[in-house]
Amino acid sequence: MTIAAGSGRRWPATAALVAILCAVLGAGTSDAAQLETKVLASPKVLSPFRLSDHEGRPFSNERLTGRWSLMMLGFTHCPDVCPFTLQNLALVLEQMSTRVAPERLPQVVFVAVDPKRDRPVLADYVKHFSDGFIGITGAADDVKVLIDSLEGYVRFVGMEASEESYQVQHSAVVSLVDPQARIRATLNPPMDPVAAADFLVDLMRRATREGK
Amino acid sequence: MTRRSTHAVIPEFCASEVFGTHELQARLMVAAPGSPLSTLSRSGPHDSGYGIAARMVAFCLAVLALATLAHAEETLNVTDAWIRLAPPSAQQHAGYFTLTNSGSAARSLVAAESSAYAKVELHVSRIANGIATMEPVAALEIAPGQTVRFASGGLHLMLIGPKAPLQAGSMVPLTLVLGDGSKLATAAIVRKDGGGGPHGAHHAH
Repeated sequence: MTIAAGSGRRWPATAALVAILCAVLGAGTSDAAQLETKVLASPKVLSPFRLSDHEGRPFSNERLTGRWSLMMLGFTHCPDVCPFTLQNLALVLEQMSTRVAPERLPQVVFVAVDPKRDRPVLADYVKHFSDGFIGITGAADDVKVLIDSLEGYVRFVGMEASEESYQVQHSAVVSLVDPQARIRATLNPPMDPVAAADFLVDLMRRATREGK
Repeated sequence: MTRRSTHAVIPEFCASEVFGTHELQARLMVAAPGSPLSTLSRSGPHDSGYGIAARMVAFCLAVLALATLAHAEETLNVTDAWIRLAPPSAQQHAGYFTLTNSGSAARSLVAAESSAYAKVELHVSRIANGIATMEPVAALEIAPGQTVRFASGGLHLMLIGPKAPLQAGSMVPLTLVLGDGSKLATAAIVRKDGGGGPHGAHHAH
């Protein structure tokens, strides 16, 4: 019982450990609306892709035309960042819904980049966050086409060690895609829901007004 | 006690800062493979055999040591423990809590356990150059006076293999294992993530 009374107080500097000090900045900015965005100088057309949605229906560029979309990459075995971002997007849409007509609300498209594990649970996964969210995936090569087109990055880590519990490193950005299926802007999570709604509504209105 | 881990250096923007939470200093210890996590070893006060007076002194010292230990345990508090309600099919859940060290000694968190899961690991997510990654954490040191908040996009528990489906509002037993071998028990509430940024999670409490 007494082992730790005096000894656990300091980690010896010589311990066979790598200790990293993470200095935390940002004190005092806690109430500032948090939003990091990038607007593309000119809209970028998405290359043709052919995937299918969580209900098995085809999903290609045509399903992005005629309405705005918010697209993100992720995988269903992701316990932290992906659920957070999806929930964050649900709140952003909730904010937007008070300001734009329902048909103007972007559709949220979750691009599942780990098809083998994602396909069987995709419907269950996206519906957990919102009934309206769409999950899409397909053959690895076909998913790659869209990843590249979204200028995304995906890397599988630890697959050789475990067929079940490997990790997937992936781009965390959310892309705003216009009704001509072109990327107009990107947003980095976490997104303050009100600030993100402001940004999106403003950009969409401007785009419509300018007719581009 | 050694954990499957990485040699990776966790840079300064690690922990929860990527998602904007404000901790003071979180010292993450990433063990080299096979290395001991702790070098703790010291015997308590012992009887030096100088008669009854010495025995009494030893006894008093022991009592004092125990009191100190008890005090030390009280000074590390876990609060706001919660688990994100995951889709029914999810086999990996994420858990969060806040650790506050109000004592004068550094403490370390080296593992976590829950009877509701097959396995629990300490992890850190981070987003660097727009890429989300996640890796195991071998040990986390909490300096005196420090508060470390586990939050989305930063430090979290990865709870693997739920033994039964979870419902929002249910409580899950959680035990944190400290570097000195002591344990901190708490209960985590299952709820849907606020998703509203760094403060969303807190407001539910």
